[in-house]
Amino acid sequence: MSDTSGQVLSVSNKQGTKREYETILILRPQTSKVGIREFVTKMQGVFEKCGARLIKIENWGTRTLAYPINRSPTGIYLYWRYLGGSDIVHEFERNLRITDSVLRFYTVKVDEDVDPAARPSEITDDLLENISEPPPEPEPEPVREVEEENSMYADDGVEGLEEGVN
Amino acid sequence: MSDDNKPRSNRRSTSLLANDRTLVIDYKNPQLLKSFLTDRGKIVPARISGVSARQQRQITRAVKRARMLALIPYTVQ
Repeated sequence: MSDTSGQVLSVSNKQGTKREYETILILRPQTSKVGIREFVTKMQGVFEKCGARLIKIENWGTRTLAYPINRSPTGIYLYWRYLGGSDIVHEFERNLRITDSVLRFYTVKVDEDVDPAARPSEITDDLLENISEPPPEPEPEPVREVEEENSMYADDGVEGLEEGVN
Repeated sequence: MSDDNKPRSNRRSTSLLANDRTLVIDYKNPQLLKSFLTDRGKIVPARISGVSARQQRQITRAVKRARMLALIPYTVQ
């Protein structure tokens, strides 16, 4: 790694600031709890090497995928949030690509010109210990469901939408 | 042919979601995004759902991201 690692090199960004990224990745449902913990520990090494800092990591548990990926109908979702430069995204995604248990990943830039001191890390040893298990689910909020949208293009479609929401 | 003479029905919805200007569109919230999809999984046009152009752009972006992550389907058979 060069000495510019972890830095935001774009001239349009303020000096000394970092970018905030979030990555969601889907692991194979067969991945063991030990496997997840090992994977997270390994990735932490990647973050340290790139001068990036993990802010948050969440296990969303095993979810049913909307469509099968690599013939897998379910997957374990992991949510990562971190500060760094673009090199961490490159290096992190390279590592995800060579990890067999990763089905899919997606990174989004949340914010830029972030002062690293303003974003304390929420990562604790305890949290990392339990990363292989999803947190206890809070009661899901009742969702305002919209139904009968199939007649959307018919003349009475609008009423269907309104009824569903109200 | 009588369809040509028929007055256009007002399709614009006045749903609660569309009127909520402070609505935060997040690709991580598939439950919310589903209210902007047809039952075939298509994105509902803004002229029908009644959301603002700005919101529609946010919805489109969020739906496409959520599809990538298999949170919502590309198509429903």
